[in-house]
Amino acid sequence: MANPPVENVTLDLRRGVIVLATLSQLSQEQYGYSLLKNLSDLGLDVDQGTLYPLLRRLEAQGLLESVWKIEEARPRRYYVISAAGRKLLPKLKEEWNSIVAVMKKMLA
Amino acid sequence: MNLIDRYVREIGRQLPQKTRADIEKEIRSAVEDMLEDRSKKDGRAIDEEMTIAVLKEYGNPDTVAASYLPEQYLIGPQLFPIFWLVTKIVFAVLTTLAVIGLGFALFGGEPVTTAAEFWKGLFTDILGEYFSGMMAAFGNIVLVFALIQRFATGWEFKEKDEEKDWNPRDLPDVEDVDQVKIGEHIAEIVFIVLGLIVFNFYPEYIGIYGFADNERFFAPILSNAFFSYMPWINLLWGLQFALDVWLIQQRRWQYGSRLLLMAVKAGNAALAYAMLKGPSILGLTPDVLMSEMHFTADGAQSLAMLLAQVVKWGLIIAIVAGAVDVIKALVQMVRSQRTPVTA
Repeated sequence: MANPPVENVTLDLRRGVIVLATLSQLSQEQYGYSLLKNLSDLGLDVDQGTLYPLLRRLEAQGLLESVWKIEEARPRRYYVISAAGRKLLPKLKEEWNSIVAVMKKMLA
Repeated sequence: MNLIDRYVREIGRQLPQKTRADIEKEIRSAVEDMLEDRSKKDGRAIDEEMTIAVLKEYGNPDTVAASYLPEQYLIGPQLFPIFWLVTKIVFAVLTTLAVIGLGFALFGGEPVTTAAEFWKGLFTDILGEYFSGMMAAFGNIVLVFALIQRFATGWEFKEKDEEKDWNPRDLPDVEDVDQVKIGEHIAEIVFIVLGLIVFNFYPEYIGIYGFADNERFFAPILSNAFFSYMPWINLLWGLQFALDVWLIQQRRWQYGSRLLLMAVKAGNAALAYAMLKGPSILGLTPDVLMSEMHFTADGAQSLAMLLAQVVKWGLIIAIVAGAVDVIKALVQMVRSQRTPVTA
């Protein structure tokens, strides 16, 4: 079987992180593009095709809330973490820290 | 209509009605945000070239639309193993029936006048029916499973408790599917040799012996029609005998021995089919029952009819059993290829 391209492996690695990254950045409401820029500025490049559907899925799961607002003469959808999302976030952080600790040991 | 409108509409066209407008609105908003950002960075007004670059960056409309849709299956991964098993079984049955049909057409069908007529009949009737039957069966299986997938979405095919509470101790032993059971094949050889001797050299002794009205009688069980099949019976028993000897020598089932087994079992089924469709193989006719066993006319008629039914159903069972044996051999062949040999 052919080895998967490096980009695919990297993408798989990042995919699991994006949910945590997104929830962590939405304590204040943001619209999709501003969140995308924000994540990029912090060093996590996510493409639109991944982020926007993810935001909808997280909202469907009750972890985010959204509202349309008219700004600069055009509508923007703002997302913010919900009560359920706030409850979940510390657990996800804990899990993440544990994974990082384990992986540090493994890769040392 | 501008490029953004066309782009958004092309994505929306592939989305469900329920969420289309909302997603279209969000994509439009995101594209406009990207354009505004790009315009500030490049220090120039938004133009068509910039719009094209941003849309290309946003992604192919098909890919973007797909990212909003759940994975869709005609037959999903949960159902696929059952679908595949059913398909293999149905195909094996159809293939067996086609082989039986071929055998009957070659040896028991209407005589043909020319070779061209023979080949035409072979290709148009038997192979044509076989392939159209395969296609129809495959289509129907796919349709049934697609309907289950569509309307039974969310069904749990295993109970929740079963998912969690399984016990490794309950797993079946790893069976060595290739191991030959020597005793069974020795017994089979003994019966085949006895059968070959009796049916070929002492056919006149196969019947019912007894006393009726203080007279000794003998009534042959099998008719002359049955004995007309003896060359085929000898061939099949001979092949089975050879297979048994081969297996006892090899001690393990192999690809070739399984193919031979399938051929013998298919041949048995074909022979049973020929007997079913041909003249009666039963020698106990009403005349024999009356003359030899002193039955009354009504009694002889009734018993002969009953025996004919028994023979008929026996042959049908033999056909089905032959088909099942072929399928079993096929399944074992597949399992053998998948299962590593264990000591």
